[in-house]
Amino acid sequence: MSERYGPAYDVVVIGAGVLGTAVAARLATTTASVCLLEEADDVAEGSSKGNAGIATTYYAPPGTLEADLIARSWPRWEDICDRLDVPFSRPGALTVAITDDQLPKLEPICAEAIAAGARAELLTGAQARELEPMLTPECRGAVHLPDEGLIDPVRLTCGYAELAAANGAEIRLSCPVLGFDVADGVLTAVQTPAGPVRARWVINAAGVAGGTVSALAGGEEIRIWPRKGQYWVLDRAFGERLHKMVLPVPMPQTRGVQVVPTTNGSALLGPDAQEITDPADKGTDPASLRALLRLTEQLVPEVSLEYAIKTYAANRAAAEETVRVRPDASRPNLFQVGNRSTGVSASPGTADLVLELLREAGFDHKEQPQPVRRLRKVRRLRHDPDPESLPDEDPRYRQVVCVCEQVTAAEIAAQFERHVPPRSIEGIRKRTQATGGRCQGSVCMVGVAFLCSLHTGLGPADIRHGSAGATLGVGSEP
Amino acid sequence: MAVVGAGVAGLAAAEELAPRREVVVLDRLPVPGGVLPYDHPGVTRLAARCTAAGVRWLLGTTAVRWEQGRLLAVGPQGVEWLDASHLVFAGGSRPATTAELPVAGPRLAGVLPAPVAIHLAEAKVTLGRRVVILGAGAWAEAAREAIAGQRSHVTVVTRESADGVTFGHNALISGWTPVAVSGRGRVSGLTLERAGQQLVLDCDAVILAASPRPLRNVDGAIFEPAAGVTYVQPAADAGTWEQAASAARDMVSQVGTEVSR
Repeated sequence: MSERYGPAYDVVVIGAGVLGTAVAARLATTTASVCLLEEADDVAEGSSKGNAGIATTYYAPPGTLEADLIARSWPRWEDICDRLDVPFSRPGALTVAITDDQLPKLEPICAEAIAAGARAELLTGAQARELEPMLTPECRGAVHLPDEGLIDPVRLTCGYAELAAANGAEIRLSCPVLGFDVADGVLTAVQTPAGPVRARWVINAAGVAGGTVSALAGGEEIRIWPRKGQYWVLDRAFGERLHKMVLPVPMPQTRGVQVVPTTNGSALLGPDAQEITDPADKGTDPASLRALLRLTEQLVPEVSLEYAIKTYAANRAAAEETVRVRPDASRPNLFQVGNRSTGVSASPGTADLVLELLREAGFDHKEQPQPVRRLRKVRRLRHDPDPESLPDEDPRYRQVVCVCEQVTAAEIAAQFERHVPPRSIEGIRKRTQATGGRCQGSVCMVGVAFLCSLHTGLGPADIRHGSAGATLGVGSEP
Repeated sequence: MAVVGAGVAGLAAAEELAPRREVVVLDRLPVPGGVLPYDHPGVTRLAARCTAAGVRWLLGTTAVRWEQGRLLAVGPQGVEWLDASHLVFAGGSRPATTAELPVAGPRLAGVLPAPVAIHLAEAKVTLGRRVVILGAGAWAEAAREAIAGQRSHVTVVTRESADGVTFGHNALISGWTPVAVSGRGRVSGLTLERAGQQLVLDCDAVILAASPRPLRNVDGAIFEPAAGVTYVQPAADAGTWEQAASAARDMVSQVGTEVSR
């Protein structure tokens, strides 16, 4: 049997989003063998790619699992991001009342934030505008959360995956789960198109597909559906003037449509929340995009399409049980891990909790004596304090590929040397920002495709733009 | 003075400025010409005049950041700050992006800015069997020319009247506004709107060539006005190269005329 089934892994993690990779990275620092399975052809292809990049300090009432996971996570970001080469900052956030009706809602928000372990203070409208001069003059008051952080969620996910691989985890992309082998009520292997993967423990971190995976495993019935969020991305000429994340008074389902800076200087307007059925539906629509503008103008009047760089949509994994980190009720070696909104913010705490729960269930692997804890930092032309010295490190820093985002050939080449390299133009964008700037690849996409050819050996017609099968062209001319 | 862009406009501006100030011309590409071939007679003539007037060349060098008084330049010589009292930016034009148009929908393969489509076609990549070109101006015409040998069915879509469409096509739709692309992974449809009506075109490639605007990619010199920056970006459809050169000269006629301090 072992010959046909290959080696058994101590843990198989399903889903290479921010939670799956965080869990894989954490478990890989133990002596356990870890295999990470992902349906898409890259990490961070679901909710983790399309979120606003907020590392929050407060989202849920004190005493909830979500509040606990966030409280376990947020003080650690400086250390984690330094080790994993992930952009991070703590600009702080303002939850803003713009009508007299909203004003009384601020005090309970502030009190709950403090009770949940965050720092928070109530501000008058004038005080809030001092912190964020772009705020609307209609601002009546605000809750200031000074420790709210901004993070690059894609590079965080890539960083977790890279760390997992550096510590020996196997990462299998383009590897959907087809089913499970079960013996005596226990999962024994995960069936994939490449054959079965034997597993002692299985972690279901499949995001929007989590319900399907659980059903295939004969686990609990978990209803998870896609909640679409649309965004505008605005130029850094706007984003760099924004000092704070600006949030409306929250609504029942979501935090509402926000105006937030990003770690690369741009700003996001969004997300809205639309319950849909098809997880592959990631399209924006004109009416929703117009609505986003209207809503955000109320918070920051300078919001303008003059700064628009791009739009996108992404699906969060909505579920009645909004945050799941626990063993499955019917399969003893299956763990359910999911989060409909704060997956990024809760990822370090979630990974630790998964390890604790596994240990309670009999997982007996100790920490490796000397695991890899730190990834090599790739210097970036746009952010380096001493750009003139870059070519001494790698002569390819003399070749700018993407002008808008100031990405050099050295930075792109460094990504191809990693355990989880890019496989498409989109993969390069996710890791370096190349093609993601003001001109959206008008100037550089051909150069990026050429580098992709160079590193993958594929001809230009076969270079993939984004997902598998979506090539730049449809063939080659004779 | 630093002139960024060695197309016709940048060259003409450099020639105009050279008698007044010390001028260095930078271009991302290793040869002058911009969108024109380097051996185009207008380009060679302008470049020769620049050299004769004492213009210094930094070709194959990308300008990335302008802070008043200095320009970060990256090229074969390394990464270096160039001292410059003034930046003359002649970056040419590019078509509008989907966000700028705006065209909604998912992010799909097969939706390509015209400059990318042109380069890919030159590399023998078949862009699509049913290609839609958005726009009817210079970028659209250049894209049409680039894919002329590909035996694709080409539909041109223009928001305005069809009068300006002087190049060949298989179908022409004018007076309709593109509002969204659709598809899974690769584009398979383009939705157009007119007076509340919708029309969906089947396609496997959409070339963005509409609403050209100045290409701006040097940080600190993106939005007008920027301190110490003069933009020399005549409209994409400025006419002949002589007309573009003449427009560029006019745009810098007052630059560098004040007494140096």
